[in-house]
Amino acid sequence: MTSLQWFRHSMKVVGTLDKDTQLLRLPRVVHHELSAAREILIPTSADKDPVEHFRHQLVFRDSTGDLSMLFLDPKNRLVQYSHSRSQFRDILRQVAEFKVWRSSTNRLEYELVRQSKQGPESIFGTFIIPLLKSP
Amino acid sequence: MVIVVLAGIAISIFSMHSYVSNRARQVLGLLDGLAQGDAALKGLLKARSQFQDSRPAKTSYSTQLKMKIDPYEVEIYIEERVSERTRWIGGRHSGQYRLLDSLHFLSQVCEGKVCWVAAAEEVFSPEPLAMGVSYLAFEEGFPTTTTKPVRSLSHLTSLPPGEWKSLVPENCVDLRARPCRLSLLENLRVRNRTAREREFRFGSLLKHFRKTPHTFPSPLEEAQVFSLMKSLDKQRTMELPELYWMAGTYERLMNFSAPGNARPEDFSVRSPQLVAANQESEQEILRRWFEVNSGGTPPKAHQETYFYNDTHALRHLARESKWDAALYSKVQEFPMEMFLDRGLALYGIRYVARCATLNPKTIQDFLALEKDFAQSQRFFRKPDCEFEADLKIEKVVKGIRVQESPMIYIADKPWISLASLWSLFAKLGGRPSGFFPDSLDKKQPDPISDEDSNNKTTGMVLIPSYP
Repeated sequence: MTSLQWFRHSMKVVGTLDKDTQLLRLPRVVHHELSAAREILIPTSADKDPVEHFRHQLVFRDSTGDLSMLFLDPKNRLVQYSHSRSQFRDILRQVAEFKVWRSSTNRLEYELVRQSKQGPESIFGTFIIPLLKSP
Repeated sequence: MVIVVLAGIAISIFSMHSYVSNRARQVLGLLDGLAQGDAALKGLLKARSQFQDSRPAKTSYSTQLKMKIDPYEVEIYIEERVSERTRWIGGRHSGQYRLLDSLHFLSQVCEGKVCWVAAAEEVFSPEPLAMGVSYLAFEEGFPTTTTKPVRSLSHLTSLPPGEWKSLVPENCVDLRARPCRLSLLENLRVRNRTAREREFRFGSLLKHFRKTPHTFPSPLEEAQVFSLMKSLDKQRTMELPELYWMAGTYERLMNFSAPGNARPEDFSVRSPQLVAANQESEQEILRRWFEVNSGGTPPKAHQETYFYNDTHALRHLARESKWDAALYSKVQEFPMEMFLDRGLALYGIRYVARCATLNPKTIQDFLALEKDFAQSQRFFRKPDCEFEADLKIEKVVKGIRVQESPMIYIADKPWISLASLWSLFAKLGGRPSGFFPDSLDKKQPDPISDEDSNNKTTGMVLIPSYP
């Protein structure tokens, strides 16, 4: 009996760890999507106080010129829209909130909030856009 | 059981730790890469300036440079391609110019076995007009002729370690092999071309996002996103294949029509500029071309994607594009198939249409009318018209045959390059190609458009064309 309780408790701990790992993986997934980004169109760099003027959508242009939008849909999914292909793709599920702002010209910061049993869990990420160089 | 569970927990914790460590390494790697990418570009630009100052007399050659930009080893490969054919260029600094020269730079920066690559291509063009029309006319108005030929550095692309291998055939393992370098350069061109295609294809959308701060609600439905992007992207002109580069002139063309009180003969192509060729010595021309402070530097916004496909918009004026293939097989003959006949005349087309639904006001209307009539009278014919639908087109001429002129002028302003214009007309009319006859009757100016009680519409449109 005791060993069964211990097993159940252990599985619960493993499950929690798994969810935490998923949360930690979120930036990696987002960074993968952003790896081709070369120009950020939303949020704009004109915002004077970027943290106060965060946006819920990220619109960027990639190295091939395609336009993409990352946004949260009503089903709590973070979705990427590719304008050239007119195609939607789910990036992450169970995302309660997505905020993004620019802390400098080519530095992007974002906050992802996931709703769990323990309450909302946030993870912050930052990404540097490799701007094209000019002579 | 307990051991298994504990082992699982340990593995999870270890995985998380490894992940964080890997991520930290990735970030550090990225920062290092950016720094070394800068070194590659510095090396490349340094080599470029050296090259400019001591340009050899040879017409075509390749060379390699090695330098140390501490702590990196920089290798620069440079190839110069000088075309052997020349053509006459009019304008303020008229003269006989080589068709197209270019310098290809490839820079490889290595720290140990990790190498970064940067590539660039510098093109010398005698004709700033073409790029003005192609890329800037829409926003900045008519292109102006610079006093000196243009030299432009383009395709300045920095690749992180290993990325170049994804752009070349599998058997390419070393950039010291010339075929590999050429293959890489070609693929970079293709990549830049795609970027520029989309730059123009989504031109209005980009403009909106860049100039107007947008705030959208959250969450967004997919349908909302779709309609939102579509609604902002009004630039339908970009959907015309092969014509995205003509975006600026397209807008002008569609809005172009004769002033209401003007007679057709008021419009004319500027007189031919038949100036004797070879007025200047070749050395003089070359000196002008390679002068460092020549005019017409590309605007920053387009530097990374400045040239379409092969270097310059002159390419688009070529009616044959075979020299793409020849470029890498017969460098000495490059560009062997380039055809730049600029002969042009401005033609008047007089038409009489009966029971037509369209009453042409512009060239576009006229081409649509002609297309409707040729393909199906269902769209052409007015439903309530009692007469038989008909369209008669008569070619009348106004305008001066131009032997050598890069431009059509409207008043004193250069308007559009000629081959481009004809191609555009053909496309607008739904025709892949075509030409208007060169043997025409005397001019018969008529009112621009008129409709009488017999459902007859008469009018005249002016169409520039090759003879």
